[in-house]
Amino acid sequence: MRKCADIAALTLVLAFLPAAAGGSPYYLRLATLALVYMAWTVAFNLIFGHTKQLFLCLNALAGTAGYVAVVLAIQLKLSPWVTVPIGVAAAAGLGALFSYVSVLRGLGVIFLGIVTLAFSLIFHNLVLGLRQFTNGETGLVTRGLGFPLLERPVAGYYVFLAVLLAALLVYHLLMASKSGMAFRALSDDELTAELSGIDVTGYKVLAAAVGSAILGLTGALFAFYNGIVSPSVFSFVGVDIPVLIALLLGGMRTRLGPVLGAVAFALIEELVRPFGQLNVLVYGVLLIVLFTTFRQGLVPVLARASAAFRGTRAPAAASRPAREG
Amino acid sequence: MTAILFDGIVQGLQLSLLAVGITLIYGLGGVLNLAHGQFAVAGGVAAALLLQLGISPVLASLGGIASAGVLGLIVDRTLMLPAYRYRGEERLLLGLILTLGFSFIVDGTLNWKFPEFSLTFRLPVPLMDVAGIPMRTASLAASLIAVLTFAGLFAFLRLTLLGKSIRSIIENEVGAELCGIDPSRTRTLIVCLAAMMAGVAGVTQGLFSSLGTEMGPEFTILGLLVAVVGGVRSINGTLAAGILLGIVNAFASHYVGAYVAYIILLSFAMATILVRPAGLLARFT
Amino acid sequence: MLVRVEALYAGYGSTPVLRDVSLEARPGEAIAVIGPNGAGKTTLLKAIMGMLRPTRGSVRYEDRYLTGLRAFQVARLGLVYVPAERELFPTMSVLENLQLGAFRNVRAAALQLGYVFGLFPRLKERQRQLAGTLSGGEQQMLAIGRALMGGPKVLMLDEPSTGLAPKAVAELYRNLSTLKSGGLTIIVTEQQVALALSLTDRAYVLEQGAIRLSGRSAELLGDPAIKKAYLGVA
Repeated sequence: MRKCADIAALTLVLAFLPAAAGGSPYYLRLATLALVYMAWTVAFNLIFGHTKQLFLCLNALAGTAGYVAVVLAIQLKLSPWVTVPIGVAAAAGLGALFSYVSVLRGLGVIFLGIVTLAFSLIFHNLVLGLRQFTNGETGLVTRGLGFPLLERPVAGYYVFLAVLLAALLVYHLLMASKSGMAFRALSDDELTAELSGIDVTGYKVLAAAVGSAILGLTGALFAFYNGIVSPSVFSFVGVDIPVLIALLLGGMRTRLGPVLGAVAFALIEELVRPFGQLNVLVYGVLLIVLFTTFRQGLVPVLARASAAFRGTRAPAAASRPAREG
Repeated sequence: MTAILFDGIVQGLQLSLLAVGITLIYGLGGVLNLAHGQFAVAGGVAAALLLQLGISPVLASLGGIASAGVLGLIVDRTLMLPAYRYRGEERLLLGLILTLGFSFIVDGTLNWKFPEFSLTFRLPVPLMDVAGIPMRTASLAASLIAVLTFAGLFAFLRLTLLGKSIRSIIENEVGAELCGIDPSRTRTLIVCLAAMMAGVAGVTQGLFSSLGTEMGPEFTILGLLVAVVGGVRSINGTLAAGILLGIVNAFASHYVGAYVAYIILLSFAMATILVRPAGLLARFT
Repeated sequence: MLVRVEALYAGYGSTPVLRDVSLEARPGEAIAVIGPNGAGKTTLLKAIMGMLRPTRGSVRYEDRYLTGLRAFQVARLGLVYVPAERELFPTMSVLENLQLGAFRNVRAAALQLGYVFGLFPRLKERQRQLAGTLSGGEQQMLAIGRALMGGPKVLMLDEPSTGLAPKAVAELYRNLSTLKSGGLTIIVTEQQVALALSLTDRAYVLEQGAIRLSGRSAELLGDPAIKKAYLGVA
């Protein structure tokens, strides 16, 4: 249970954050956004961190769920409680499909990246082109569609906190089970894993489906929370890039890496905000620096630092029993 | 109908110019240059700056192209070094992320420093007659430049020893090194060449349309699509694919609209990767 | 002494392969390195060529330390290597492959081309043919011809008889013999021990990364231990 101590601590901190924000709607929204990106980064950790599937269409997956949920709610007058699951299913299905096809065709990282990037662009153009449903560039208003909970800032924060914790829980369960071992094996060396009898296809598709589901759920809920859904809400530069940076910053294949990374990224965003357009430049520098030097991420660095700290204070933790047998 | 076809060919040549650079750099062991469009923009911006200084259009264009080459040189000698240290998938991924980051840096810088910038050339004779169809002189000039550039590239690669050494590095780096060819020097040369091809595309864009500083990512994606359809390792395929996709885009845009046309292009690319990853138009080896 | 390897240790990553290997070749000598699969013969040649960085020891060529030089620099100095995979350029013609071999020394190219065509008339016949369409034996000839185009002093070959029909192997070794009489220093590794020993002056036996035995090839041919280990099934 020691393993869950960090998640418990995190939950406590995050649960009381709105109080600490002192009622400022700006900071509350910022914190909520951070939660959204944390959940998305957990998903990407599963898809890319653990099973090396370079999905460059996170925005399209989240956006598909978002648009499907919203458009169905508007056109068919269905409750979001119905349309959001449909949206999530769509996202999960797409993610699983891309994963399956890529394994089937033996696509390497690059080609999968290009295919998903193409999909991301197709999504963008579909949204713009199907304006009779999506209202094109202007977007659709998502208030008053039957999701009052998300229209209140504080409640919205806690909804996303629940989503994040659910995502972390799913992640934990996956990693603690057979799947976790399979992920570790296949991220190390796919061929060897396959030869050892591990169903590489199955596990990759699983990771992609679960990750896409998380992306979709968060995306669909975000569409309602945001009050408006438009192409710019789910843009490549707005979703994929921050998630990639957050995952790299926090530490790939670690449990809390996505959380820390997203926080770090949010801080950096705030610092860069006064410079306006230059945020793109900062993204670029971050990507380069992170990928060449800081590849481990924050979590391992912090872990090593805390281990060193603990090491100097007391003898090694794995101590013998006080009495010799 | 023929007008659309011609238009498609003109656009297609433009696409090929962008794509061939990506193909060349990918041949260096799979580095996918996501900043390629920025070479084109940089070339165009340099040319525009030179124009402002009063330099003649022809010299300004050459200056722009040379600047693109220099940028390529700098990128290869600094940014790409970490990627070259690895092989295979590591190099792919690293190259992808590094060039992506670089494209953001250039895009951000250019948009910040030259926000309202554009490069446009005006020609003395706006329209000319070709086979009974009035065509913009600018389009003809752009196509001519593109064709000449390609001819020059082919001649260089096929006929000169230096060009052959470039092909040899792309084909088999180990074998080339055993012949005494310096892989990293050759790589730099390839990147410069690729960047200059993009520079030509940027300048010709200013010729038949106009070049804005925000066009970098768009160029990169278009170049990528064409390179993928043509086969990321085949230069002939790239030329053919560019023209094909240019024609498809011209007809599709005319009949079904810009968004759908773009989706068709994207689907072409996706289909190629899934069905014939070596490229729809790559030569059978 | 043309080539001198001294106390060489080399391997791949954390896996050591060669241990304390020393070897030398005098000008005009032909040296064989024989041993079973996995002994490290390829590793040795790669280390000499600079394709692999040794962890200890040194390689000297004409009194010059090759430490830290890259393979293309070593090739330019006149020490060339024909790997087992040959590493040709399949979509380029025979002639182009040869021309690239002279990259380091373009001035000598025309002369060398005549020499190589004289040595391998079949290459001259097929000079416009794409290298990828040649037969195994012809590809081997092309690989050697390409290596010779730069006018090297030392030619290293890694298991050149691999994948060749017996007739082609015989022709290959006839050619190597001609090259040797022309004054070229040759270092060849082989699993076909009898062949290698018949061509060369001296030989080294490499087993599990270390030199077990060395001596004049003629003597080794008669050595009962060698006969039993390598020539019994040859």
